[in-house]
Amino acid sequence: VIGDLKNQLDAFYQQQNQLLSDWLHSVGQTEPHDSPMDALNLATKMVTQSEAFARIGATLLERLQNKDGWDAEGLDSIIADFEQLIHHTALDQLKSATQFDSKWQTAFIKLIQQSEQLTQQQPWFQSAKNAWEALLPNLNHINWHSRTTRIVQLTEAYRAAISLYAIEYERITESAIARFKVSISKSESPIESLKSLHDHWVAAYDGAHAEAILSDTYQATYAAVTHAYLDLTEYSQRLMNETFEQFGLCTQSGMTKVFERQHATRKELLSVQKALKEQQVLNDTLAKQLADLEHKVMILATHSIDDQ
Amino acid sequence: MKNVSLTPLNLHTEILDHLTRLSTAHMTLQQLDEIDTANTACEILYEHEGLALRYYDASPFTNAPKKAPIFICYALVNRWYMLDLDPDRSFVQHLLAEGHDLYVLDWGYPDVTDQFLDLSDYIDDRLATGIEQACNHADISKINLLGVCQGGVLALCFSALYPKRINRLILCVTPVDFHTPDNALRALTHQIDAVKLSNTFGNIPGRFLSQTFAHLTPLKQSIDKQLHLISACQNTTSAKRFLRMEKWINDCPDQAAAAFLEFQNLCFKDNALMSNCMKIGSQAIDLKALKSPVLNVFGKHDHLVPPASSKALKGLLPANIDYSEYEVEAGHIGVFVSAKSLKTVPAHISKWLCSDE
Repeated sequence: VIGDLKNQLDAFYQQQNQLLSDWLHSVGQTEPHDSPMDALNLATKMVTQSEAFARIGATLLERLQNKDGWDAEGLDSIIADFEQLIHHTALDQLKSATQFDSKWQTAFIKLIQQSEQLTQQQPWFQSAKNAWEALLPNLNHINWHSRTTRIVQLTEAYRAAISLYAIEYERITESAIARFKVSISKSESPIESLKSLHDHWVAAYDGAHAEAILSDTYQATYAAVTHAYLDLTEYSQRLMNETFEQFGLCTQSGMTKVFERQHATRKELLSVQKALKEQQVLNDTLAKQLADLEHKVMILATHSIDDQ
Repeated sequence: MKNVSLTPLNLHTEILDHLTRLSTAHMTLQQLDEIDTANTACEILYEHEGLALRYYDASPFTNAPKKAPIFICYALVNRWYMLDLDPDRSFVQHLLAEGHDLYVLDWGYPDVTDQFLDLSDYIDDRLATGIEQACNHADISKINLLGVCQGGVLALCFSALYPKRINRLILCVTPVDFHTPDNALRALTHQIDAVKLSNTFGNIPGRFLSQTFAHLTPLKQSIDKQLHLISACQNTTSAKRFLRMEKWINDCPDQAAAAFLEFQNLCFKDNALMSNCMKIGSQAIDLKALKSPVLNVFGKHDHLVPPASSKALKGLLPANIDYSEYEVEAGHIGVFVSAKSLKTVPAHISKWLCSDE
């Protein structure tokens, strides 16, 4: 049975890969506005996740071979395999949540290292830099070294924050595993399917995660990662701003000041419009009162003429 | 492990069944066209700087005489069309079927030019204008105001500032006490420097908020959801229902920086409604000034706005005010989209609104 299943799984995933390739190819043939890329992304995620799901099932099946039932040792071993898979998934989530691409990080550091090597080892680089500075005097205050040093510092700070955060994630996984074991041993209904095991795991993990979120350590670590990411982003924006400024281009901070003034003007305009509206209401009331008075005066005048 | 009774045969069958279902899901996804939302017909009564006021006429949905209209103030986070996601499960259509014309304020998508919009702009200007337009259209002087989540906080502040404009106030899944011990969102974010966030990005990116929400239940929002997608994609109807929700979840507008910072400081940091120090612009919010009856609707299983956070409102209102609570057996979004909630919540709101008519 197991051999059959493994063959079937392999055949199935080959088929799925082929389907996805065909689909991708057909998407490439259509007009851009017709491209169902979101559906394609969903299908890819679905297949990837299903593959993990089915492979865990196949592993379970293999372990069940020649066993009459489940023992604690066997279950521990299965859970350990499962933990590995989850650990990877959690780290993927972590990368996605912190919106940071480690490839970019590596590439950036490499670039800095290369530029430092160029500065130190290649005389022509220094000459070129001097020539630029002579041509554009405003550039002469650019401190390449301090900039790269700062970026390396910020990148390292971010990496350190991520490392501490990963420790928190490991704690959560450990706690989730403990919860999972308790959950399946105390389950009121027997666990007869992989789906049921999966549901117990999701509840155990998210429960452990929810508990961790309420702890001071987790909150501080999460904030530290976010702040380190923001520092890095903010610094790269500052560099861009400075460069734009040196070339006489409009900067983000300059635009922000314009928006602030525009907003203040807008508020003033609204306030004037509101005052005008109130004045209009007052004018209408006064006009009505005046009309009433004129009417009364007319009546009085008519009476007065009649009396005379 | 007597509870685990997986057998090789069951497992084998389950895995093969899963793969068959995956193939079906694959085919279904290829057949889908655009994921449409907000299908209920409406008229745009007013548009200005990204803001839009939508009017829904109840006439096509009921033969009974019309009841008093409702003005819906949604949160600034996420989009209003969660109330009209799916034609079969539309909160909007259920309220229309009860006979209430609806006015829905669509806040739009703040862009970089909107980063200095503050809470006063949203409440005193945009919400006030929307309500004025709706009252003029319906030819009434006061309206029933329904606030959703953060929109409930805005509605609450508006009602305290302009009590004469409000007939009845309905708050749905609205946070009032932001410091309850079970408030996971606050726990996760309260050590994050919001000023640094705003200095870095200007407007707060919607994706940052989406990821923060997803971070509260990481597996449910990732592995579990992707596996559930297979069940959902066994036919186009359920696939569309699932993907409409996904579309909504990922459609998180950027937040105007000034309003975001103000809300963070006043609500999440200072818990200003509870400590009676809420201010909008230069105006203090005195909840004791509320005059209209209040209905407080909340989800029993809400993990974003815990019931205790909503229920705290009762202690802040004048003692003589007509106040009722309605607990729904649902989570934060389930209150508006679950089939079970839709059978009870709109009908309950309608009944409460008409209780004095």
